[in-house]
Amino acid sequence: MKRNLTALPAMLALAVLAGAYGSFFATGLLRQVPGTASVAGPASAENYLKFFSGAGQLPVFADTFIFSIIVTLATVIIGYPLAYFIARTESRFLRVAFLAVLVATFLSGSVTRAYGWMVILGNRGLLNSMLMNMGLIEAPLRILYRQLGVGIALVHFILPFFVLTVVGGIRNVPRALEEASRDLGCGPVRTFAKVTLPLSLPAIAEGMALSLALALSAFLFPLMLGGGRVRLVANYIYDQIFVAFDIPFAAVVSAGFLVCSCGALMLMMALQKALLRRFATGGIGA
Amino acid sequence: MNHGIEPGGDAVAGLEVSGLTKHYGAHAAIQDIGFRLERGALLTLLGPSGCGKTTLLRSIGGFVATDSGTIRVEGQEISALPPERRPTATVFQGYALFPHMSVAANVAYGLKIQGMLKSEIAERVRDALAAVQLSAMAERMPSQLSGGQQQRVALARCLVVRPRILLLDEPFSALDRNLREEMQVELRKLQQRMGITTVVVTHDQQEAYILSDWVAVMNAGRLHQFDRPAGVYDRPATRFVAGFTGMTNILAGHGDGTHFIAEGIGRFPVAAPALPGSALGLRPGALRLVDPADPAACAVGEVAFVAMTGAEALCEITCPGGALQVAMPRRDGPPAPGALVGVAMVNPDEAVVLAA
Repeated sequence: MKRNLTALPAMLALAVLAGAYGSFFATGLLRQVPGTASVAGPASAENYLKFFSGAGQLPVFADTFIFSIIVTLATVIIGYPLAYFIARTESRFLRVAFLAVLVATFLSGSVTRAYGWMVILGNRGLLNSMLMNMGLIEAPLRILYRQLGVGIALVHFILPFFVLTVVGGIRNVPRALEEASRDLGCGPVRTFAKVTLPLSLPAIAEGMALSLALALSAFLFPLMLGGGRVRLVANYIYDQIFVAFDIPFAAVVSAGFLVCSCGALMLMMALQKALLRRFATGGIGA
Repeated sequence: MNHGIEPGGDAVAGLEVSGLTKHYGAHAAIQDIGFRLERGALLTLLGPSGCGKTTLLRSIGGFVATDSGTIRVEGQEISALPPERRPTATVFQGYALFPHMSVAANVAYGLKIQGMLKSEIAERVRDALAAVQLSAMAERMPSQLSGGQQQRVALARCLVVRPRILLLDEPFSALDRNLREEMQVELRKLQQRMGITTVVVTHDQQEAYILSDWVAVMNAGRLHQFDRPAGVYDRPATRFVAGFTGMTNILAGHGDGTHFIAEGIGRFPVAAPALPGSALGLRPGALRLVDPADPAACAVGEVAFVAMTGAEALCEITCPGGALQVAMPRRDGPPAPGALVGVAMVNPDEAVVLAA
């Protein structure tokens, strides 16, 4: 009885969150009243049938997933060495400085940052001007208004979330374990691969899940840096509401995308567990 | 200071350290450490926390880059090698078992690195686990084992790679008392059976006496004495060693050839040279209480208090120049506080004259 009481606030919060998503499912059963911002019955599965026939949204879904996975992998490739350095550097000054720079990126809003990237990546932006002045390229590189530009800005946005998640995971791997591995004849690189990496795997998986979720739900960066040419699911849903004025269908797309995203995250967690099980026996015995 | 003696007649020492020094900033963690240890012997590094014993052990294992000095294992200079290329294996404090690997995988780790055949690995792992009586636990994860079992896995993981030097950092400090004594005996048997040169770090002198062929007593980064366990106990080389091994009576004074004159306390029949600034070290058990008028009495004082320590009573006797600790069997009837007593020596051989 007492346990149920302490769980009450958490369950209440959860109910509100789940309720919000539940309302997507419910709204999807209704129909838009033409010319107004309201929806009305009677309930029908019409919108769901339209969704599953999948004409408009399927390429957007596929694009979004592929794009988000690439962004997540780029974040891991850039973020893990950074996190490793922050976690393992002997210098307190460097650790604090790196963390401060990462945290500082939280302080500027997304809109500011998107504009910043426009200034840097544009055809006459800082990057292109610099490269052209140095004579490295003749014509400006087309980065802005493509997935590449959106991806760069998005990685920059996601990186601190990933790094801060993983730094803790690496710091929790006791130094003595790395020393024990070296002591038993394993060089630094193999020690990293056999001890540090597997033991920080749960933190990497958490960071990847967070990164993937942030990339999948990206809205502002594709809107501003995509120039209408990079259309991800969030932008597609936005268009359903504010361009097509079809709130029920937008709700159905949201709900469908939510299910897909959850599926992707669960798949990732399962993958991580399978990997850890392989390490347990170290490839010997049963 | 005694910087190690030549043990045995072994031409090539199992482990030879000389001039080893390591500074952290201006602080010297270890300073000019040198000793020779014969093959197959067990040495304990004994001292209070912060004395440099762990730094010394870690330098031998390759985890501390020393400023100067050499480390030789069976004649081979190893001080420039990284840990993975040294013929040493360490049982870390807290054991450092790989939590993501089973017991068998932990023990197999060093052999897999060497690229040994799977069948041979399996056999050696089986033998190593049998040697530490953990055959039944091979498939368990380290978190499922007790502290004593974890320690045995750590030991097996080292022994299986057949190191030439086995290093143990405070191996028994996390175990409760009964288990600790059992594991001490077990380690000693295993070490003797395998004939492996071993260095153990401890702050517990009892443990050092039980385990060791040789004891190195350290303080403030320096090696104070390298000796047999009995030598450390009976003939402490410095005031620090005397105090650390429980020689509570350290009396300032000087010798006159036949006696030691402890200022303000008394005259003790110990052949001591007339060196100024020396001291006489006496264990509480080396003294006994007598009648103040007894001719054997070296000092006379008043009983300040009497404490029961088990089979013995510890009496503190206040003399004009200081206090004396005297231990006596309780069955001999300890005196009442306030009584005037004489203090005599049980055996003059048990006194040690300590240089300035």
